[in-house]
Amino acid sequence: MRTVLWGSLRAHARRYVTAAAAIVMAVAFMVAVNALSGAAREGLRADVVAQYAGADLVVDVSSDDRATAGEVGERVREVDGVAAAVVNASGYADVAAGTGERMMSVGTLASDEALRWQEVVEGTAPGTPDEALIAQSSADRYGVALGDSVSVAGEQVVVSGFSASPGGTLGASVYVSEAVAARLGDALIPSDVSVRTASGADEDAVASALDAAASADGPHPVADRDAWVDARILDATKDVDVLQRLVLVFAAIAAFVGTLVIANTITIVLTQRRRELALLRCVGATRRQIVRALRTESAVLGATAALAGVLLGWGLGHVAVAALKASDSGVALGAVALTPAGVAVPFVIGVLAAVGATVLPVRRVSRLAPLEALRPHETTGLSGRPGRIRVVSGVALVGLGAAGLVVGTGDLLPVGLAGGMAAFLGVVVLAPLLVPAVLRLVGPAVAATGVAGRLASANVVRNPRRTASTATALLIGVTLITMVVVGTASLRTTVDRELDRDYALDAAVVATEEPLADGIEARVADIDGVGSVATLPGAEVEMDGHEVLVLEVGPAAAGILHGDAALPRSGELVVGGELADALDLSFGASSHLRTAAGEVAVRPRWGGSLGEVALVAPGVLADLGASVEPRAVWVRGADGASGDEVLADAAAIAEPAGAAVAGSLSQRSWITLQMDVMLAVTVGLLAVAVLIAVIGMAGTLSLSVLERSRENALLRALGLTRRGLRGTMAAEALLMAGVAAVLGTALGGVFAWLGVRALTEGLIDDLSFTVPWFQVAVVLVAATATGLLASVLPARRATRVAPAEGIAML
Amino acid sequence: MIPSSLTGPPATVATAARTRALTKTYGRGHAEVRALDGVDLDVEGARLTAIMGPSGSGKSTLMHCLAGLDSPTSGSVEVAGVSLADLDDTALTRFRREHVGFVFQAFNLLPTLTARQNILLPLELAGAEPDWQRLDTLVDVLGLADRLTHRPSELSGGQQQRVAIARALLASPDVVFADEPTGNLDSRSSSEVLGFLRRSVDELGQTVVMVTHEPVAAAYADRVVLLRDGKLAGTLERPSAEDVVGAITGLGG
Repeated sequence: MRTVLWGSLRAHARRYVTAAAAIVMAVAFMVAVNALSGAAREGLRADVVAQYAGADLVVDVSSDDRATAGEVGERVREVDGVAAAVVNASGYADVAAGTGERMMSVGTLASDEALRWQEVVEGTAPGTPDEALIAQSSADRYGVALGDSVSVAGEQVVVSGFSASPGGTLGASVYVSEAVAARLGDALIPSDVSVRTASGADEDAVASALDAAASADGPHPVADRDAWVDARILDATKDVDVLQRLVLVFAAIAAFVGTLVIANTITIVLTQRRRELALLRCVGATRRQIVRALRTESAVLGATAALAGVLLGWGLGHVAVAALKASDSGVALGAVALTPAGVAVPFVIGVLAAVGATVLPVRRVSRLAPLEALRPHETTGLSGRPGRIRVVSGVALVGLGAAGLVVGTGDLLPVGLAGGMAAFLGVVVLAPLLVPAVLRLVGPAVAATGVAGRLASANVVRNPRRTASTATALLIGVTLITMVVVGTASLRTTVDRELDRDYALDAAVVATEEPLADGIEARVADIDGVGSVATLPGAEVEMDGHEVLVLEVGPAAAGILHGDAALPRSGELVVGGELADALDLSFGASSHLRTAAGEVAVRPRWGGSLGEVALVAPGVLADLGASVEPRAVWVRGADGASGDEVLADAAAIAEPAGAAVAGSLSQRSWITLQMDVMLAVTVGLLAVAVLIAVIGMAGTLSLSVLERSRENALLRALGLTRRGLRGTMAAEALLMAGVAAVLGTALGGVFAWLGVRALTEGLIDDLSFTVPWFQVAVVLVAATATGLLASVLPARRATRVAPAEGIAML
Repeated sequence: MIPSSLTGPPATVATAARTRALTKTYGRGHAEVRALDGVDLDVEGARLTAIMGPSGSGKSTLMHCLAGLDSPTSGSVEVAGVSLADLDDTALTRFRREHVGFVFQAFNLLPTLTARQNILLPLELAGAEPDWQRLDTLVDVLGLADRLTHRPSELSGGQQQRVAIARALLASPDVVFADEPTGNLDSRSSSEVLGFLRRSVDELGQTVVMVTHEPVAAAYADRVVLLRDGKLAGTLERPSAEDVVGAITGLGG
């Protein structure tokens, strides 16, 4: 059987190209992901090692508050043989630096030079407790210069130098001295007290002395540096592991699509080889021999392609790591490191995908009677038992999968994922019944267009399995794309709605003490990144005993707000979040606005980040008899505007005029950016699967043309012109692609809804399901056009064959 | 002309294959077609038997049943003393590769293999060691020596049939079945191929059963079995082409 095997592998290699490409891509994807995670782990490891390089012993204070950790630190310093110690703590704090104020990560600087691991890339290491380091990347972003004064949660420090990008367990954007860190209190979470022992001291003796001193008020385990570093690395790489697993989910989707494409390709290739296999049976090959040969063939195919995939993925991993390092993304990356499992598992999955995909098609051909070799190839429909098995298993898979998708939310996400795959597999199983059924419905309409249409509509329903095979690849692709498009849009609307509620106002210049100076509106409108502006009239009014600034929101100002969550309706008082915080307000049923001239009762309501103001509907201030003057300019940012820059520019205009700046454009643009990045990554990862599906479709279409060359030659012999044949094949491709695209769109919509629901269950209550009709229409048209395009080359090949030649060849 | 090293089994006139009340029907009810209807046939060993008849007379079905490629609806088939009805698919496959050789009208060879690989295929499938001397002699006699590394697409129709004959003869099968072996060939290649089949009987003592509808081809046979509507309609011993034409005309074919 070996000669047969190699002979056929050699001869059919071209036909297996698409199947091999699918495996190569899926395996390369997985290996590249593993290589990247390996690099990230290496980077973390190097960071952690560097951060404890100067320490000899480490006291664990990770379960204490900062004050207790500080006391432990003091006791540790007094132990004999301890040369220096530092209480390492890090966390997040409001940092006012450069262009504005924002949450930044804050870490601790040791005063002892040996324990101070931070690398100063510019400037000098802090000499006094009032000096600090800030990460070079943050300094660039927020315009912080050396010597600038920076406020960390109210503590003033001076930037003496820039540090390298943050990484590892202790990395942060701002490093302050231990003294400052102690004053920040519980904003920082302690991790350990790193200890440098005096030279010549007996480390074991110091360790036991430390243990006694540190554990005076509770257990504080002492570890030597290496043990501690190992434990931290394990902790730190857990995040990478989670991320890696998440990305591998997409790799699994790609492998799954790959398997379907391979199964399709192999089915068609084996159909073409029926006579060859039957002849083998005639001359004495047993069924087992045929099955074994075909399995070996698919294993060789799988192994070759998987090997290529491993090499490609390894290369891609190197390229990606190099690119990330060059882009200075702040991600700490080491050298590309692949574990044996990181290579072996994708390789085995690749081989199994190829072998697994061939199980059913091979079983089908192995039932061939030897006599098939002597008969012209006849096609049969699905009927009898296999048809019933198909229906039952297909429906069962769809049902089980749907159930899994409904149940599999939150912690059960893997169940949802498996459910999604099962449901999809069920659809694929049902495709040979589903696709022809739909085609039968639309066929008559196409048949009415002429001979080509009539032939095409008859052709596509004649062999359900072949039609389904061709259409399935496209179906997979369209379903995936629609799923992403609809899912993205739904997530987007849901998040946007949340944003509108919490961050309704992009930016505002508010004159809290006196009327707004002339010309502020015009100057604010000129700021780069400002879309539209509106001036609001307002007045100081007494509200339940507090003196507050109340603004009237007219139609122009209402247009500045995102959504209408912050828009005051008649009889309502919308209170800015900052005002509510400043006055420590709780919202009762009603509030009273009072001036010397009058009083109104209003329903108060929280309005998110609007500044230290309250909002009312037009006319309320006049009713109160307050003297109304322009008090604020509201700003709506242009699309893609940088929140930090707009707010900084507005502050530069407002502060000299005695006004203050408020607004949430920074937060909004930051969250939007996160969303965009997340979605881009998701789409990018799924793109691999879609690409595999498109390759698969082109492959199946051209194979099915090849399979029918004899029949096409007969049509030509009977008088169909070359143009007519091309037209027939184009009509066929259009029909199949159109039906697959429509089915895929519907399926993708359903999957998207289930998927988004599964992802956001428990996080977001009222999910809005949004279908971006235009994008869906584009996908639909593009998919149909792709199908048409995929038929062009095969059709050209088919029409070039002379009729007699076509009939004579097999 | 054929060297003595190729002398096969002794030229006896024992029965190589036998059918009794062989019946084969296709379809059911009104659509039932009786391809074979109670055929009793003895194929004599070491002779060339031709099966002839008009289209639809059942001659191909008879050969397929004899060769174990098709299973009869009723009746028995015995080849080389083995009753084929008792064999399951695997045993039948083994039986075919050990006791039977085939030459088809077309699509005889695996397009992916060279001529030499095609010839050795049945023995490779059986895991048996070929008789290399026999191979050399066959290749020599059939004039294939300089064609062995070619693939079927690079061979003429006559050459392809000669490769198929070499494959059929290499394992010294009990019976060689040839289904319209000259159907696709020009007259010169036809007579070449028929000549080889004839010589394999005369000089190797091979048993050959050939289905044909060409009187000229049938004239190479020792015995011609005539079939009509699935029933035996007579036999001719060592006929000339004219005899065959007469007999066929008599059948109304």
